[in-house]
Amino acid sequence: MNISNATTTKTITYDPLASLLNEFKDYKVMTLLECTSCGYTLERAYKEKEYVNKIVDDACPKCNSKMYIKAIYVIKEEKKQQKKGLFTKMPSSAIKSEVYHFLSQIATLIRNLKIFNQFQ
Amino acid sequence: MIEISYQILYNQFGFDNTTSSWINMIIGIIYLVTLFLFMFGPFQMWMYSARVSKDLIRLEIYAKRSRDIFLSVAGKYNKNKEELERIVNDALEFFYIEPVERDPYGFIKRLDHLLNVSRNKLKLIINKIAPDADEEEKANLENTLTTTMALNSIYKYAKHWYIVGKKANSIVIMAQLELLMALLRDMARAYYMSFFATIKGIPIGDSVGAMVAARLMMKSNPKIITSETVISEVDIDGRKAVVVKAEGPGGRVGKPGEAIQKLIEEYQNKISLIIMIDAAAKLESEETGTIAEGVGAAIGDPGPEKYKIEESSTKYGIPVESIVIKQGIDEAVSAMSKKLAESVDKVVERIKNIIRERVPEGGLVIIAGIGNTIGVGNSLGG
Repeated sequence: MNISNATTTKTITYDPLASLLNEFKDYKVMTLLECTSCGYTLERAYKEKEYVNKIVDDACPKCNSKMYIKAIYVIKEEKKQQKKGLFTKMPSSAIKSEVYHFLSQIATLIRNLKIFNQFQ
Repeated sequence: MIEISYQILYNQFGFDNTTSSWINMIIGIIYLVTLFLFMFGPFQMWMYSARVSKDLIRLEIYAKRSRDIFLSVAGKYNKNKEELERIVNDALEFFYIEPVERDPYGFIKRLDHLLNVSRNKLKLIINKIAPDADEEEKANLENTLTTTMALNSIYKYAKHWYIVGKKANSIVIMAQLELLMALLRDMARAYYMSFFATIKGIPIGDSVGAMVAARLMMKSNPKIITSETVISEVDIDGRKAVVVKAEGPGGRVGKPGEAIQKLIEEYQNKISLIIMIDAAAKLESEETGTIAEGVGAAIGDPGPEKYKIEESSTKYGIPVESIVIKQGIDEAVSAMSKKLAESVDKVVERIKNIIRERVPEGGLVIIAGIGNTIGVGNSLGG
């Protein structure tokens, strides 16, 4: 059986723009549209080359009129941070039993130590 | 009693009033004095320089990354990589020498001229980098290049003072630099974050003033009054309002001062009021998007534009009122937050209230939206 010693070459390319945009992955650019006739507002994701006061192709869902960009802004998506701890997501009764179990183990350990056995 | 207590004290420290004990004590005192006098300074110096060098690395990363980002963005317009790098490297070393202040006469005029020359020089650089890009893209590229230049000079100056402090072995220089470093670091971070907005061409926090003006001139036909600045005449509750803003949607600040000066010379005493809207730096205790009213020209230029407004409004006795939208320095250069965008409607309402109160029907008011107009068009569709 021949085992070929083929080596795979991996080229690492550094794209500064991609790394910058990666830093903003939690940010969402939003566009706020407003209907030119009925004033209905609609929020959607930003598309390239859009600017405030630009008339867009989107039609008003209410009156089918033209819509313009009222504002462009960013929203930071809040990530739900999980608490990192020993007793996270544990009911209080379970924590109590864990603590009792831990303490009893320590007590047994101390009791079994040779130094105490000598006095007995 | 006292003698006994002294004896106890001596015994505690192993001092038994013999000659050797005395010698030991003197040696100990000399050792401690030497330690405090000669070691304390170098230790502090080491502490300061360690902190400064840590921040300096961060500044260097920002400077180098920003250059790479600019090259990457400009690479879309210019395929000649070597030429592009050469132009960018030259641009990063660009400087302007401030006019002489010893003779204050005509200082503002000289500064204005210098700023115009500097602005034109930057435009020439951008034309070399991206000759085929459209005017709006060029304006955004200019913003990106200016940010890169700012980050580069922040790093260079910080490094210069670090080396000077090290060479002179001066704890005073190093301590001052360490104090400044926190501010420089935050400023550099804010500039670095601004790339996201300038590359995409979306409004930044500073654009809030321009956005207010754009909202007011939405249904009108704006015309260019001076370099990169547009005006538009609108009717607000029976009053004629001339709205001024930088020409959008590219990243420009325009020349609002010059525009207002021209309008004042044109309408003279017919103008009842000038209202300026701009972003202002908030105090840490203040909330972003807070709106405040005051008097005076709200414009954060190096001087010439503000001077023109003050000079011409004083000449005809026209009151200048300002509305500012508070935000942090980092927010002013970063992509606009929802809170700031929401404040635009409130400011427009305030302007209308002020006009109703202060300007008689049929009267004339100038409204100037100050700030970078990146991502903000002029009127609907344009």
